[in-house]
Amino acid sequence: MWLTLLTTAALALPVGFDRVDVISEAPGTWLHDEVSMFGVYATGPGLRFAEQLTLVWSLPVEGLTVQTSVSTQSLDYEGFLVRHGDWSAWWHWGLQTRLLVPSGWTVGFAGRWRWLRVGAGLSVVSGAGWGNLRWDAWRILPTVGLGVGRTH
Amino acid sequence: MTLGLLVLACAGDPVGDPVVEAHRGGAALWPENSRTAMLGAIAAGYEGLEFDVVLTADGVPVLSHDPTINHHTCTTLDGEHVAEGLLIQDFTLAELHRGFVCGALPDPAFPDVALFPESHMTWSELLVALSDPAADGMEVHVDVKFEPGQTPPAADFAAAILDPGWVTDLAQPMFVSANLVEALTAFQDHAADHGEPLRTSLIWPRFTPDTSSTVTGLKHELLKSLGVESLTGLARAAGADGIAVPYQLIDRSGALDAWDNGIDVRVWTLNDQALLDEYCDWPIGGVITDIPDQAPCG
Repeated sequence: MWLTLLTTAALALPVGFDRVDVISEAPGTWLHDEVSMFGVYATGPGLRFAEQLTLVWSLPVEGLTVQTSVSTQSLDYEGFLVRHGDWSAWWHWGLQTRLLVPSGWTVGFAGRWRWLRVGAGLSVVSGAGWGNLRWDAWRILPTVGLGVGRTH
Repeated sequence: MTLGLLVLACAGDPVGDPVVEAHRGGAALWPENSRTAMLGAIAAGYEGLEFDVVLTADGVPVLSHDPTINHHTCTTLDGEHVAEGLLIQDFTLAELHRGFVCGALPDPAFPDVALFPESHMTWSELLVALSDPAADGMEVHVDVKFEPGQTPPAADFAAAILDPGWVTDLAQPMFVSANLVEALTAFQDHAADHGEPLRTSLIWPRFTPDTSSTVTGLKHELLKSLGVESLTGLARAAGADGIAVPYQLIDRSGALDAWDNGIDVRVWTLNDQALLDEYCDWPIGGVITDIPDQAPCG
C-alpha cells in the first residue's frame, strides 16, 4: 500500500535523468569488500558490481536527487561550492535506504568536469532492511564514487 | 567528530578465527560420511567434524548425505550397482547392513579418493569414536537430513540423535543444523523439554532438486542485496544460533552484521586454497571444507 503510494508519487514527480554512478558511494561496500575477491571468486564481485550500479534522478528541488540501485535507494542533496571553467565542486549528503528502510548515510564532496563526476566521502551503513529491522551494527567506510551523466 | 569518524573508518573490520570443519569427514580425503572418514578425521585431530544423518526404518541414525542410498558410491554386498532412489527409511539397520556397502565406487566429485567399502556408520558408533582422546575439543556438527516424505518426522530425528548423545555425556561442543526450520524447531523443542542446552544452525538457502541451484542462488542473492533477506534476520527467524551459507552467497557486510549480532556464521564448501586463505580471515565462526588439512586457519 505505502509502496504503491510512494511509487505513484515518485512517478508523478517531474524527475529527470542526472547520471549513472559506475562506482557508487552508497552503500560504498563494493570497493571495500568485493574488489579483493575477484581473484578468489569472480562471479560474486561481478554480480555485486551490477547490484551497486546506480541510476541517479534529479528532482524538482535544485540539488536533490534520488539514487536507485539494487543494493541501495537513497535520497541525496548536493550543494554548490565553487566553479572554475568546466570544473565545479560540490558537497553532498544522503539518506540511504533499502526498499525505503533507512539503512545509512553518505556525506562527502564531489568534483564535476563536463559529464564526469568524482566523489569522495564517508558512508555509514547498517545491515538494516526488511529482512532485518535493526540498526545495531554499523560500519563507517571511506568511499569513492565515479559517475557519468548530465553536465552541471 | 569528523576525526573520530575517520579513525573509526580506518580502524578496519574485525578478523575472526574460524573453526575448520571437516565436511562429511573430509570428502576429498576419504569416502564421504564413512567410518573411515570419521575415524580418520578424529585421528588427524581436526577442529571440527561435520557429517550428515538420516534415520532408518527402525529409527537408527546413520551417516548419509541423502535420504536415499547413494547410488554413485554404494553397491550391494555382491558388488552390484544400487538402484537410484532407494530410501534409507525403508530399510532397518540390519537390512541396510546386510544389503549394502558404501565407499565402494568412486565419488564423481572426488574420483581419486581411495575406496573403502563399508556399511553405513551409525551415530552410536560415532559417539563411541568421539570418546577417543584424539577427539577432545573437536566440535561436532550434526547436519540433519530431514526431508518431508522421504524421511521420518523431524521429532524422531531429535529424539534419536539427542537422547543417546546426552546419555553418553558427549564431551565435545556440538551443534545441529538443518535446512528446514521445522527440523531445527523439533530439536530446540526436544532440548528444551529435557532442560539441555543445544546450539542450532540454519543451512541456507535450501536447494531443491526441482529448481536449478543457479536460479535459487541468484534469487537469494537478489533478495539479500535488496535487504529482504539477511543472515542475521534468517537465523533469528529460525530461532537458530547460527547460519551456514555457501561462499557464493555471503558478502563481508552480511558477515559483519551477523558477527556484531552474535550469529555464528559457517561458510561452505571451501575446496580451494585461495578460498580457504580468504575466508580464514573473515569474522565468521567456521569454514566447512573437504580439504581440512589445507586450511590455514584454526
